[in-house]
Amino acid sequence: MKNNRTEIESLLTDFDAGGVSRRGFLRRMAAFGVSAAVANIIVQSPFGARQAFAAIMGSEERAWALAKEAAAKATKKSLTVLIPTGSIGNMTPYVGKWKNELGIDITFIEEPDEVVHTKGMQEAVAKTGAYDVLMPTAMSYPDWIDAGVIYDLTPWTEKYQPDIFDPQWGVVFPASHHAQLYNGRVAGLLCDGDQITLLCRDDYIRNPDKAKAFADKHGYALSTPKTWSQYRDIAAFMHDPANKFFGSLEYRSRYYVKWMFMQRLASKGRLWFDKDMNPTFNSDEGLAVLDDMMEMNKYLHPDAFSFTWSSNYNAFGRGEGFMNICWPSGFKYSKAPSTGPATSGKIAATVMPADKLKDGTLLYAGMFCWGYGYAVSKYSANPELAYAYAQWMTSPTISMDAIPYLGGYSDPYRINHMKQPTQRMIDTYSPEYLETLYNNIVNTVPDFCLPGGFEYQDALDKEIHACMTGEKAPKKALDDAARSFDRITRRVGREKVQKSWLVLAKNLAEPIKKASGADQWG
Amino acid sequence: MTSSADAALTRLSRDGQTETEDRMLGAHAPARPGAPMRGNLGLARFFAVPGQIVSVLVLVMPLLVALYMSFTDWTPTRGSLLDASFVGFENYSELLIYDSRFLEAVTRTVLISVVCLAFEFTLGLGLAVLFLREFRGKAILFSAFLTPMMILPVVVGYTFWMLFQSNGPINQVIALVAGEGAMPEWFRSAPLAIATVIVTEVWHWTPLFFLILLSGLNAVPENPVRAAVILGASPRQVFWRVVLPMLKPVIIVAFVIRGMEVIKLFDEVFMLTRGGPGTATETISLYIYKLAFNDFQLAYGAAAAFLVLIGTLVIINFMLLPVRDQLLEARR
Amino acid sequence: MLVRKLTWPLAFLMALALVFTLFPVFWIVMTAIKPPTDWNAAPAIWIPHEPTLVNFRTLFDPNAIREYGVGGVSQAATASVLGSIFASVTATFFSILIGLFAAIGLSRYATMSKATPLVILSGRMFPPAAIAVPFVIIFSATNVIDTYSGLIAIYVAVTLPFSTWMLKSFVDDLPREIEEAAMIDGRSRLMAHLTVTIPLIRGGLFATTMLIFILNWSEFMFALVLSYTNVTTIPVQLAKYVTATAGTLYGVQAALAVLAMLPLVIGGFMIQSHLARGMTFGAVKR
Repeated sequence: MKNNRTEIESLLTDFDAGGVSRRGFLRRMAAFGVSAAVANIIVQSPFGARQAFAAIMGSEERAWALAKEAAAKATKKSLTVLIPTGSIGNMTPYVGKWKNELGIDITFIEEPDEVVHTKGMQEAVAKTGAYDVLMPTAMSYPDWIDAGVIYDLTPWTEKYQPDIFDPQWGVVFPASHHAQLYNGRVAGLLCDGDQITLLCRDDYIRNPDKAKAFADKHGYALSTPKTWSQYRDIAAFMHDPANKFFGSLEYRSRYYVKWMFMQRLASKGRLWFDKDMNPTFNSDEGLAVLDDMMEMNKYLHPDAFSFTWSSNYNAFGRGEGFMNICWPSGFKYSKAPSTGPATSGKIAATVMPADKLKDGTLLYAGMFCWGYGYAVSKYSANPELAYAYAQWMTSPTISMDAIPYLGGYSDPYRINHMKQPTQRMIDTYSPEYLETLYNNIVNTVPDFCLPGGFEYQDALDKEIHACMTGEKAPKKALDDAARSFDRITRRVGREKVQKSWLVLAKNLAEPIKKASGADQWG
Repeated sequence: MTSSADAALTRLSRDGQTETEDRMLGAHAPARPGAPMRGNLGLARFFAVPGQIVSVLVLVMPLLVALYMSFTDWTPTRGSLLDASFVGFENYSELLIYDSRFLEAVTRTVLISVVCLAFEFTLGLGLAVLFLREFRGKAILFSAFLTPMMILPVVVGYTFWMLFQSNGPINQVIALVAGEGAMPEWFRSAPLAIATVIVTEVWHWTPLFFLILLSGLNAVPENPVRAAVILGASPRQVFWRVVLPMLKPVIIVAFVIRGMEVIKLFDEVFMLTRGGPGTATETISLYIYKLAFNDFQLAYGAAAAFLVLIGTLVIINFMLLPVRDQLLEARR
Repeated sequence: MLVRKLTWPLAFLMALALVFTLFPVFWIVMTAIKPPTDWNAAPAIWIPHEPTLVNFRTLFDPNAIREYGVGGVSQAATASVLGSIFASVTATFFSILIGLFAAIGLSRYATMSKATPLVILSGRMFPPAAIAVPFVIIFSATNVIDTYSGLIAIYVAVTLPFSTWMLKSFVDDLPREIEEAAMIDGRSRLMAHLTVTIPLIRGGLFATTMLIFILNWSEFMFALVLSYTNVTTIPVQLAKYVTATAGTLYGVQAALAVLAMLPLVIGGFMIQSHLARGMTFGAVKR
């Protein structure tokens, strides 16, 4: 799209001048690589095509203008970007443009994800200025901001408008708030839609024998599960270990297992804390979740306890299970014939199952875990250039272009990624799946994007894991986790954590706010 | 054996022990006779100063910084170390009273260390005794048995992580012997995960015990042994009553050297289990690493480290008690 | 000791021990030559049918592995290999140089108190994770953070006890009369040490050098903490091939492991007669 810029400009002028028909305009825009949906927005805009196009391209262009200006001023003609291993594929395609047009060398330093937080935090002490841009998960922002490692981006976002809250092509709410802000200030620009959704094997659902047997047994039609109890029924029904085909491929491995717990807890309308920072999971709901997970252990892939995302994707791709709870890139993997030989073209996806609340209503909740984004180092020699890079890479247009590249695990996170996708985006995922992603992400609850976030995460994870491996009874595991939480809160500073927790809880999807009682927190 | 022979054996071992110590610990070195070269202070300083400078700059200074840190409430999220407020022994009391994870890690590390050292000593001694026998290819086998200790700890951890995979070779052998159903998930249960850590550590460092003990055995003087045989002692009695007591200083040295390192156990576990499942294999070093480099509770981590240092010093000095004077004497 | 033959049951025991000792080494070497399809096959493949050098090539050309449809590495291990060589060799040189001085000082002049060995030993008891933070602070203040100088300084300091005490034990073995004879010939004390003492302990010097090299080459935690963009070593790179979330590049990691252990195994064999002395700070003599 970028290379056709001048042709597109002249086409826009022609269209505004009435020289081109609607259909002709749409056809030629498509030929230039502009998605039909974007072209449609432009056609319908009351302000004229030129201006509408400029609006959606604006974030990218403002960033580029800033980059040009900052690059010209910079004495150090390079940017060093600290990224987690495995994400480079979405970034390398643009290195050439920055080199050729701006004279800026972009170097990537890859570290295992857990080390990214360490290295960033260490900058508070080391102050090396070795990194200009850092790509942490959203959980790093509070501590990094407090430690003075990264810039508060708000002054820049006000000036250069990355359009992160735009209703048409901004980052989807509530991720826009949970995964980018700390206490209401912009700490990083999200570049990865890290939600989990549920994948099912469509070919099994469509098998008439299976469908009949299931309906006879359970009294409702076999399909993608709508609730957690259906999920368990279906997993049990499909579980066939003799043929190396398992009910589901949920994670039970350390580091991941907490999300399986948190997701179910959220479905029950529970958050991680109440408004006074008391943990809420050592409750009947928490115990019910653990019971459900223990029950599910019977229908899981035997490697569930050692799954990492790659081994999980591979096992599903080899056709070793009926369902999988995984990140959107898992869909990408199971769709591509090379990584999903047994699953390509046979996937039906759905939003995460709902749970029945006390009043009988169904609550749909999602889990936004991780959430990578760009942050700018306080010790960078060229912070403006670094910011320009972040805004440019995450702009509605460039990010749309970047996500479909293989070899990285960036997933859709802006409204236009899901609602107005380009053909490449559609080919990489599918129209239905992009719709599913949108429907799921609007109900997501945040990870521990709080001061001391990683400590909370680890404390919960280790107890849930101990419970799943049978080391600890559910009640004891949850009580121990709650005790650890209290200690962490006390050590990090109750007031500080509470303040940021209340800000997080303000920005929840309405049904979850209501179910959890957060709407009453004031 | 008569009681007088018994007494004779005991005496033999005692006499032999001093002799062994002399040979083992270098007390026979020609440096011993004569006073040290004195009267050349300048030259003495010239030799000593570089080492002292490096030690002070690179070891003592960080230790002092860490000591200071441990009495503050510093974490980078509250500004720089200089801004941190002084909290006295608060970190220490928090660790000892409230932090069950720390206390568990300490207990666990001590337990793992004791078990590892016991295995390493027994296996190393057994192998060393075998090497007293005559057989062909001794030189090459000696080299072969030393191989593990020359492999990087990180590589050792990674290798055993592969070996203990649920579809790894160890489980294959188990399946072959006991059937498919007997294959354990090594990293899923706490006792098994601890077992993998111990096996790894024992594999890695038994060669060191073997090496040290074999050196010791080879240095055992022949006279007391001959005398014991003449007194009618069985080979077993000779070993337990004469040879082993004479080895005592060497054994202690081996335990001290290994004990110091195994308490710090990190690299292998970092690659093998990362402390899991849960915290089942979390050693002190892993926990301190987590405090310092994941949670950035830097002051708190420093306090934990000092507690560990004090504990280690006490234990090691206790272990050294029987041979301390000889060791120090031998140094001169 | 009385020399006896090895009986069959004992020989069997020893064979068993040998298998136990060498099997992990066999496994890592085999993994290094397995193609990606064999890395984590179930059941595990012991000896690959089609051995390949692609893992080794991938270390230096990250794209090599892509012919098998495997991604995940994008940085070559070259920098870490060069970094390891540079840091280990330089640190070993300085550790030996300073240690040799200290050894002569300790052995020939009463310069340090009797308890010094224990003080130095206690330096090795401190958990590295805790001392690493002060290093970061001090290095940042002195501007040596993310430079090899910093890493080398630490390596010199932590290996100095080993080099000093091992070298001292070799100097101790040397009769002091030899130096005195040289001085009667009209050489100064310093010259006597340089021209007589040092050449006479060259065997021990070599063994100590190898040992210190082994220690530096294996070090992990300090390198992990102190590596940013410039500094990296093989153990750090090794740990990068496995991440909590992205899984493992078994073969590539094994290939680097094999490269990393080669110099140590060879070096270790060359000095094995001195290893006991080295690993016990010179307390055990042979």
